[in-house]
Amino acid sequence: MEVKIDMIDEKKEHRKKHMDDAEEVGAILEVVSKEVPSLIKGIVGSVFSEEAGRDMGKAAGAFYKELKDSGMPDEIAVRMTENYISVFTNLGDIMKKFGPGKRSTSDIGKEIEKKLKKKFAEEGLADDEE
Amino acid sequence: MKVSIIVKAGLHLSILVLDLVLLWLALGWNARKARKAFERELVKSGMPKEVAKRLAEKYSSVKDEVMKQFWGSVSQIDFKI
Repeated sequence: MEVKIDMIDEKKEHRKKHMDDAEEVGAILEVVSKEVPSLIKGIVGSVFSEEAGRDMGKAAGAFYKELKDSGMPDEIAVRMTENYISVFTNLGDIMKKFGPGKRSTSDIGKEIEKKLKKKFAEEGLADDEE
Repeated sequence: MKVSIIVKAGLHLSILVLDLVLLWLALGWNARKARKAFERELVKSGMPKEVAKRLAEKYSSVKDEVMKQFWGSVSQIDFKI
């Protein structure tokens, strides 16, 4: 009889753990669905907008014009302007900071972690996990 | 209770996917507009049109790089807290 009661308790415990896990996944998805798009929107908006393109074009154009005015051959001026643009557009190195190697120190990772912890604290899930 | 949690999680997941699709479309549109503006400014400064077009394409290739990095990061996310 006692063994049966133990088994029922174990089943209840198991079910409770699964419920907590499901709640946790739900909470993670809620935070991620709110935070991730806005973070990406911010990054993308700062690089890809008509204004950003115009400003970058103005800077590159002025650079090219100065080179041409100072008597630089056209081919070299174009190549130097190309290098100048690649300084702006070389986002690969910047994006690598958000990559898996340095995830713990990245701002996005920290921000998401902070929001998730806050959310769990609100719902009392943080205590269950610890 | 469990069903409601699954429905809620599914809803948030759908919102996230929809937001990401919209973001991807917006990114394509914004990149196109930015490339055109960039090209226009280069032509205005006296650069030949073909060269300006080539440089503008280089500028818009940043979009592909951003997407590549983003999907690379998404595929390696783990939700440890």
